[in-house]
Amino acid sequence: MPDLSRWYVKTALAYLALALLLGVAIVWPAEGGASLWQGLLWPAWIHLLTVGWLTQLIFGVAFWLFPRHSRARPYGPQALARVAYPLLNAGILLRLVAEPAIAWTAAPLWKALLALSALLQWTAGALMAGYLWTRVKRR
Amino acid sequence: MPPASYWLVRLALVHLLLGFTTGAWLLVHKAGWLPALPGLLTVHVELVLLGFMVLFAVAVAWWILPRTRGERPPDRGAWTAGGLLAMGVWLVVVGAMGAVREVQTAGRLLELLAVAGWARLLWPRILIATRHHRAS
Repeated sequence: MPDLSRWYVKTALAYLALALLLGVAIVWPAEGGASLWQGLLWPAWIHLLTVGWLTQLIFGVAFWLFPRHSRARPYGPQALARVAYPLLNAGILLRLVAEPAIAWTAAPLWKALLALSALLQWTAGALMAGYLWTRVKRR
Repeated sequence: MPPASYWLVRLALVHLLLGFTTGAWLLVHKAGWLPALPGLLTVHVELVLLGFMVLFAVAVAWWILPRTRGERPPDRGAWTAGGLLAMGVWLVVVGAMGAVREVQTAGRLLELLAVAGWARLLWPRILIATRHHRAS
């Protein structure tokens, strides 16, 4: 398994663990301010599972498993996939903090960080879609 | 990759890009910098979960699962089930954007039919994989 796949898969597993912990926190009996936070964390929990865990696992396994480019360069132009990894994870982590924060405060900084998180995740998705496109090959 | 997997994986990647685009729009809307669009949350969920994840998984499974009787089965079934799934996704997307409940329902029914089709196509190959595993 190439090192980039290992990074994607290990990070995906870390997000799964984090999502499970957050899932417990969301349903933990709470009152007042704490219960409000639980509601705010719900979108972050869903996206830790679907983007942090599932999408990232798909990316890692596809990078490893999809048909090779050539004997000399089996993974082809892998710069796209390498750049996508930090962008995707920065976007997910930023969202984890910024999304609940904008419900709490109207400070423009948090709004800018949330928009930045959207841009980072979108760019990562576009780069990875572009990269995997080159690895999809007919018999 | 067989032709059906080749095209369906590529379609799944298009859905990934569109799904991430709608997701980014929703987040920037939350920040107050883009307007709300009708049905966008449903469109986002549909494109990412069914259009990308499910379609990608079944298309890769069609390519990678062991062959029945040593031969790759004809692509016809995969084209039908894949086409139904994609059509279902797009009917839900159009129905959600136009707020037409009947179109969304038709889309979801097509998705159900498509997944039943994929189960029928892939199940025998999963059984073969299990037998191979037990024999080794």
